[in-house]
Amino acid sequence: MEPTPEPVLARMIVRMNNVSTWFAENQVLANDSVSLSIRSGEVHALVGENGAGKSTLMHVLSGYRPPTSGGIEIDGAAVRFTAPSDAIANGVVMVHQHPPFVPFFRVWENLALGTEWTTPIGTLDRTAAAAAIRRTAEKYGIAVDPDARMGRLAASRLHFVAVLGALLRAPRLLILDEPTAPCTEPEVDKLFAALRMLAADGIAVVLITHKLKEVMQIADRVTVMRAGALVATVDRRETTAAEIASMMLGEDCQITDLDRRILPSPPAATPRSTLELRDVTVHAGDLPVLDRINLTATSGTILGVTGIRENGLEFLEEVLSGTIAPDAGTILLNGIPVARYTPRHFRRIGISYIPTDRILRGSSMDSSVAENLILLHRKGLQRGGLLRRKAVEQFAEKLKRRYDIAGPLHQPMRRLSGGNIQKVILSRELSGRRLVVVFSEPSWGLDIRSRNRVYEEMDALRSEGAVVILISADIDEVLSMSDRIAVMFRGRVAALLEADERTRERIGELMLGVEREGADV
Amino acid sequence: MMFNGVEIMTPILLAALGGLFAEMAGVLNIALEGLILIGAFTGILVAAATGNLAVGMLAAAVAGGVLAGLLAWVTSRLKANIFIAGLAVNLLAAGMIPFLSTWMFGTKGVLRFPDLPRMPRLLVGVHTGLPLLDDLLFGHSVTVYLAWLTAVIAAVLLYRTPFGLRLRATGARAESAVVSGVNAVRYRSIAIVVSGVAAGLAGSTISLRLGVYLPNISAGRGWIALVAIYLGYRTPMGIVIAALLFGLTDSLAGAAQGFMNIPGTILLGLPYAITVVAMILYSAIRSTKPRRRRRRIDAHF
Amino acid sequence: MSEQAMAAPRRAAGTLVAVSAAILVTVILLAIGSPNPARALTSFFWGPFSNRFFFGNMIDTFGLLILVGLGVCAAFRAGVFNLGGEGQVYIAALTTAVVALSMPAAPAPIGILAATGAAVLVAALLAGLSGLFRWAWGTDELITSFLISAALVPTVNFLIVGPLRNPDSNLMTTVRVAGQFRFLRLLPPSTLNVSVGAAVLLAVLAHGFLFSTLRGYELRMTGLNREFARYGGVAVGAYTVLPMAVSGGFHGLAGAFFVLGTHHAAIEGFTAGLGWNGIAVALIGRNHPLLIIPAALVFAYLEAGSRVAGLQTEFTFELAAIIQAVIFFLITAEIVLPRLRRGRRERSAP
Repeated sequence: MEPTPEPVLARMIVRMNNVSTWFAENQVLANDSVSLSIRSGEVHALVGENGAGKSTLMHVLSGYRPPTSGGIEIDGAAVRFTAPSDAIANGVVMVHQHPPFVPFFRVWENLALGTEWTTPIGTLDRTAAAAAIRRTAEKYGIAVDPDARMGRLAASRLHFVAVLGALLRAPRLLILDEPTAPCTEPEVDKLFAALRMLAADGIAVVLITHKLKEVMQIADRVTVMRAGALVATVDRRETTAAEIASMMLGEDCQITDLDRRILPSPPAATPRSTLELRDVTVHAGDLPVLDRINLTATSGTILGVTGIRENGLEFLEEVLSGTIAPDAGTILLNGIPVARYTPRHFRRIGISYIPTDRILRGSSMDSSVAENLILLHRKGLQRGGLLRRKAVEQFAEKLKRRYDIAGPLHQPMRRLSGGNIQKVILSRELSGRRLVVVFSEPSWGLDIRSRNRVYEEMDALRSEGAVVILISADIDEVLSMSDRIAVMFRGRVAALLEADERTRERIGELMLGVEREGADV
Repeated sequence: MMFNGVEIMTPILLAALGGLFAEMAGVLNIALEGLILIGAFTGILVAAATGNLAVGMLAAAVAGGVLAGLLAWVTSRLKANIFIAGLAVNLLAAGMIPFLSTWMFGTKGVLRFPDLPRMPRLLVGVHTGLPLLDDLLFGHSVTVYLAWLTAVIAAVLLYRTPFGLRLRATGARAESAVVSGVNAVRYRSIAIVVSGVAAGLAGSTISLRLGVYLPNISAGRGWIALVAIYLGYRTPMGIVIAALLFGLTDSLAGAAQGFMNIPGTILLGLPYAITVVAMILYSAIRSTKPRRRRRRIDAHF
Repeated sequence: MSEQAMAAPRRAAGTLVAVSAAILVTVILLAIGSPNPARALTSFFWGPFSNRFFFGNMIDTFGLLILVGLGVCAAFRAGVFNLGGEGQVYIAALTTAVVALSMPAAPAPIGILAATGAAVLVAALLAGLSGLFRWAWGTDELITSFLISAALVPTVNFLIVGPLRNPDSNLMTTVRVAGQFRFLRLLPPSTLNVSVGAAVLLAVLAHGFLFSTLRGYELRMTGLNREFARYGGVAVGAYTVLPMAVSGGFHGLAGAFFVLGTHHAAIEGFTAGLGWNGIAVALIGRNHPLLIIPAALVFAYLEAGSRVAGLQTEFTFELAAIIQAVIFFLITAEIVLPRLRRGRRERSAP
């Protein structure tokens, strides 16, 4: 898509002056005297690695968090936002990375929250709300049913609905935080078309992202942040993706281009172990969320499973980790059905698992790093029921060194960055038996360096002959990492693709259910 | 028996409806018991001093609201734990009332107010020909009708107004309220105060109907109200039914006491016993569906 | 600097403010409510140290408070909440008396063991039941533990006042247990007895269990993040039911010691407030078994002071409940001295 030319009279609307944000609780300077101007009618991309301070800066701009110092001007007048409501009143609306909706509210109720339509006697006016939602939705080509339950919508739809909700507040500046993460390519195109229309209407759009492809596709100007500081703001037409990348990462870092990555050839030896799913079915209510799944993963290969979220990936994760039991069907390890579907039993028989939710499931944020590291090895570190202090320390120190986990071992997990949290989880999961390892969204939200670390581990596991299963909604990741790819659609395996028959486009179609052939693999 | 049951249900219903606002805003208000006690004490004191029941009830509502406001303040401003601070309210009521009672009347025992006007009754002598329906609907204290009216008002407020939408969003997912420009902390505090007002009112209906104040006059009604919220599926109409069930069981037990010869002391524990049994049965039945999965999840016990 | 080190001043400030506020409120109430304020205040502050009797009684209470504090802590640390301590202590006390009275001629070790064991078992069952419901059906253990206790307290009252009442006494009390079962008194005429040593020892053991053993680690992990513990293969079901039972067990032990050590009989309502005190002590001690020891001492002093003040000025009221109330109001509050104030608690990752 060609970006439209910049409007001739680009009125400056928002200016952030020397904004600094200091997180006292973990002693981090998230924003270091950042100055930034955003003009009406432009799509302004804000890029940087995880932890570069992009989201924090925009939280300041949208009233979600006060800056430690510095100020904001709108049309030349200084403003102070103490809550999102202040920002909204000034036309600044942010769509968050994970838009928090109430799942059992209807779409119109979620969108009406805060700016309710009322009847003359002061009660809620559903008709007026629904009409306003439909009007705005039609204008920007977003399809949505105001009466649908929020929880029924697919994750990729949530961002569209969230954007719609933001538009209903008549923003002059719309901020989007990683809106394309759960979207397929056609959906991204649709979203960007809507953003272009907004810009054409004179609305300023800030797009937080770390996907350079998207930046080059849509942005008018690009601001790069690194380690809390602003590196530069440049015109998109006067730069290249490589230049932006080097600004993002600094000089010393190599970029792995996922598209050009060559998978190492699989080990020649015959498979030593297999993990097989046979007719695995899970119901949520009356609906099957996993419908007769048949898949076999063999050692020395990586089986990628992809699809749009809500199409069964999350339930596959739960079943493969023993968190829930299938309502029908079995999982067999080396031909033997697993006896019990509990995380405890799965661990005992050698199935390791890197969870999607690293905070709530993968970590105990209020415990020390060491206490997080020993979770799976606790039994080997005790004698007569007593934990051997020395052994615990040595074990934790060993993992810390091998995975270069930052900071002291006795500090609480809460202090670690996202990348380091994932390192703690990886080191814990991979330091025991490595028979079968299930990775679920292992690189989600990680910066490039941390991502590469995860991929290296996966390759290592593959070449030493472990069964590796990668569950990921990221097509690029699955394409470049997997030997075989299963595509999920509506709870079923839509297709199982071998190395020679897969392309981005084919997978994209399968994810969207364009093709159903080969459903009974 | 139905007639008595309806009278007994009234304070439970009022307190539970108030508690529903807190519950909807995401707060389990375990202070209801203490707030009822404060309401019962304040209500009868002010009513006796002014000779006016309505003024007494108003004072009870204010007292409940103020104490709940204190609870809201320590939990929102000082970020105190709501359960612990809620216990504080219960203990404060249990400690302050005997203190004030001793200070003002020289006793912490029963307080009698012989000159107190009697609670007026409405629709006395109206008949439909169905005794059970008559007992349910007619001839009750004003407070009974007040409680029913409160249920209707609660339903409208919670489900039909912007206030209710914001309150429910706060409880369901506070961030959704915050990013929409709603001050979640304020709505949570308002909900706690509303529950205090309702519990205070509930307390006054107990003491004003009896015309005396007895130590620990609330007798567990605050806890029963909490359970009634769950049993009523967190809806105003459900709570009406749950409260009525509690009222009926209570009056049934009172009647049974006579011919079954159970010592009165033991029966003091009955409301608690009924409540806990109801609560356990409710959760057991409700979890039959997801139980299979839950059980498997926790099967390595 | 570790998180704990950072949080320590804030916590200390909170505890200090809560305890000071409780003392302040007590002083105000004594001043306005007592016929002789000066005497009441002196008694409150110095009474517990004025003679062997008051001092010994205070130390006796201290031991019991350690036990109930540990009981509350056991559940808290596993992320469950036992609100039924009040009734559990009472029921356990009656159980102790009944068992001891049923075997008046038994040798001391057997009688003491049987009575104490029965008390611990009954209280553990009562609390464990709530844990069981929570595990099986998700029933809120906070409410059920309170209600179960509250439902049974009147029955205990009935038994003490009715069938088990000592006809020769003016008090509503059972017959006193046989002499050989009574714990050795350390500071007569006070009720201080050897059980205080057992309480302190148990606190030390509990600390060791929690922080140095595998099971203690699993229990803490369950309490801090249930999902994480389950994911790591910890039997979280067991750590829901057992800590509740252990919590009940500690309360039961307090009830048994209260009869065998302090009163030698079960008296109507004599344990009132002990359960709530346990929560206050656990909170002041920040659920840390070793810190529970000083916390229990502070609380025993407050309670002894108010008791002495009440006795000497003939103005008795539920001062203990008010002290608890003030402490509960403020103990979990984040009371921050202005210079230590931190930003809003939000996700730290930008």
